[in-house]
Amino acid sequence: MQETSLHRGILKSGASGQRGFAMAFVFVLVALLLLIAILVITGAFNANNQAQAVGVKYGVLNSAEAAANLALNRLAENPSEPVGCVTGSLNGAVYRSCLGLNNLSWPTGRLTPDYADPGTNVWVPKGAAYIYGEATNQGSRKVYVEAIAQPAPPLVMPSGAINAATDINDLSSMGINQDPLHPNDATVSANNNINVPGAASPVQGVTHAVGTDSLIGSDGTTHSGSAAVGFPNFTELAQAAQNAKLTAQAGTNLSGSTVSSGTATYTGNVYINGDVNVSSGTVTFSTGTYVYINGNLCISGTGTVVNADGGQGLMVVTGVVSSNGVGGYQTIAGQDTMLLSLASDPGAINPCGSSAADALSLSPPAATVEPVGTVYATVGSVQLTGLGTVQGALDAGTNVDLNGGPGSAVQYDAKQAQTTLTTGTMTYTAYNQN
Amino acid sequence: MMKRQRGTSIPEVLTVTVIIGMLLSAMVVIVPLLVKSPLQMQSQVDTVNTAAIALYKMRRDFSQGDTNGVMTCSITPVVSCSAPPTTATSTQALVVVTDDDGTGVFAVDANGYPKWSGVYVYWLQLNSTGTAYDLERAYEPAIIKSMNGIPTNVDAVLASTAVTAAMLISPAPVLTNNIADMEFGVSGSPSTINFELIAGTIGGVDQTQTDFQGNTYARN
Repeated sequence: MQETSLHRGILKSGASGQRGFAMAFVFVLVALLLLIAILVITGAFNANNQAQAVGVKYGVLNSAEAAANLALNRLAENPSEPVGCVTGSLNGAVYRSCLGLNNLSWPTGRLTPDYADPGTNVWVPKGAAYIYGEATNQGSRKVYVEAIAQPAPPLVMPSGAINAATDINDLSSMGINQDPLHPNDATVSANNNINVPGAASPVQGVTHAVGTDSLIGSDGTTHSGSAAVGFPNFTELAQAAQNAKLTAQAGTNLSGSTVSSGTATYTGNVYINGDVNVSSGTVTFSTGTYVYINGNLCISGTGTVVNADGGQGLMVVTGVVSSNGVGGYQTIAGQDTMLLSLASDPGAINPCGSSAADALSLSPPAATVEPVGTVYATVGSVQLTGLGTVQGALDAGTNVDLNGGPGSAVQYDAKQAQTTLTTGTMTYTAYNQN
Repeated sequence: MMKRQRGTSIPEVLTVTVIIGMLLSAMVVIVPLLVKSPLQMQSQVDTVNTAAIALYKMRRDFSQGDTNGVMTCSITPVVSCSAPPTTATSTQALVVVTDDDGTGVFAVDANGYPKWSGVYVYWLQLNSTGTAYDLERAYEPAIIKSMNGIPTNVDAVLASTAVTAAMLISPAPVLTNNIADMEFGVSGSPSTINFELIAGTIGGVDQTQTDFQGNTYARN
């Protein structure tokens, strides 16, 4: 009995020790795993927070920039926009888009408080505006973007008698003549080739082509591999057309059929909805700046359309322009007016019923000189036929096709070198981020 | 009466020993990796974040600058600056014109154009361990001529002078650490400054790199 009790006691204490060791081992193991898990989760959490903080910082800046841009757009749409703010949110950051001072029509420059730097002032010149955007994410530090905005400078058209964004096709021998006051200034430039399949036209100016120049200029040679001339880009043209449309719509609104009915004079800015077909009589536009025709402009027979608007008078035609017959399209000689066609080439069927395959075609009759200012087919071609002389400058978004008959000519009007296009947009002239 | 317990056999003991041994071996390998992992992640985030914040500042300086007022420079063996290339290209230093003298005041001239007062200089300086560059940034005042707000005299001489002066500043004005490379270029239409920072280390010491690219329209 004695021996049995002793043996049982040893066994009991041995089993208890095994259980304790196992529990301690499990505890240590679990604690170690927990510690690792906490480290991993905490590390990931911290890293994520820091990455998010940087993202928020950029988000707030973008929001403030967007707010300033919004103020700029408001000002472009309404130059009389009153001082004040609109609110919104971008990237989760609340913004205020503010016009701090509208000095566009004020006769002098003025000081206005610098909202990003309290206690200081910003100088706002006449004809400018002070705008700012501020943004914050849930009350964090505000980011300011402030700027001086002014009307965007007008688009400058390339100088010279003929400019084409692709080819100039000299299809018949016709004079390309200088401005009588400026010797050999009738320059001819193509951003691709100048092709001369037949007899070459005599040119009183230098010729240039980015590709192959086959037309000898007044310097007795050709200039292949020249630098390209710059044309307004698609966005700029769209802005200029939109500006012309809005300004014209604020003036007299007419239907195409009304204008097509015969002799009449329209003053101020004019918006015409529909095709204008003038086959007799004289339609005159005067004392305005913009004529916008939402359709085609077709002049034939004895019809005449006179753009007698003041300097920089712009006539925009959304469709094709076809001018032939006795009268045709005319401006006042020596004024830098512009006729703009927004159409692409019509192909075989010209909406005006003429045979011209180009978006803008001029065909002056024999022994006449038609002052046309600058004519510009923005995305199409310009075609010159007929037996008379066109006085002005020809610009094309694609080709210029010279196919006049005997005695025909293009006479450069040096005044057209000053022709510009107003976009009606605003631009930053000074910019600060705080 | 308690039942007599049986002892463990040798195969049982060996099996348990092998299993525990395998577990411990695995832990010896895995635990250090797991413990090190958050630190590595944090290190990478630190590298990335500091570069991102540096890029934020560069973006600001470029936005306020002008594409006619930027130059790219090499600093070894001597400072030499030139007009930037049209595509982003590796550079040791760059200069960008500014109307901000560090006070943040919106400086405008009588015609509403920026009142240029100097240039910001960015340059790379090899760190003490030689494993990466520190990106330094300093403002250097300069007489900037302009026409209609467009800087006209930010040339190689002005830029070299500014970079040389900036590199003499002590202590060095470190903007961020752990930069492997900086790239920079200017395209003309629209006026755009292309820039890139590569965060990480150089020379294969650590292959982890993060590229940051910006494409900022220079507003002024």
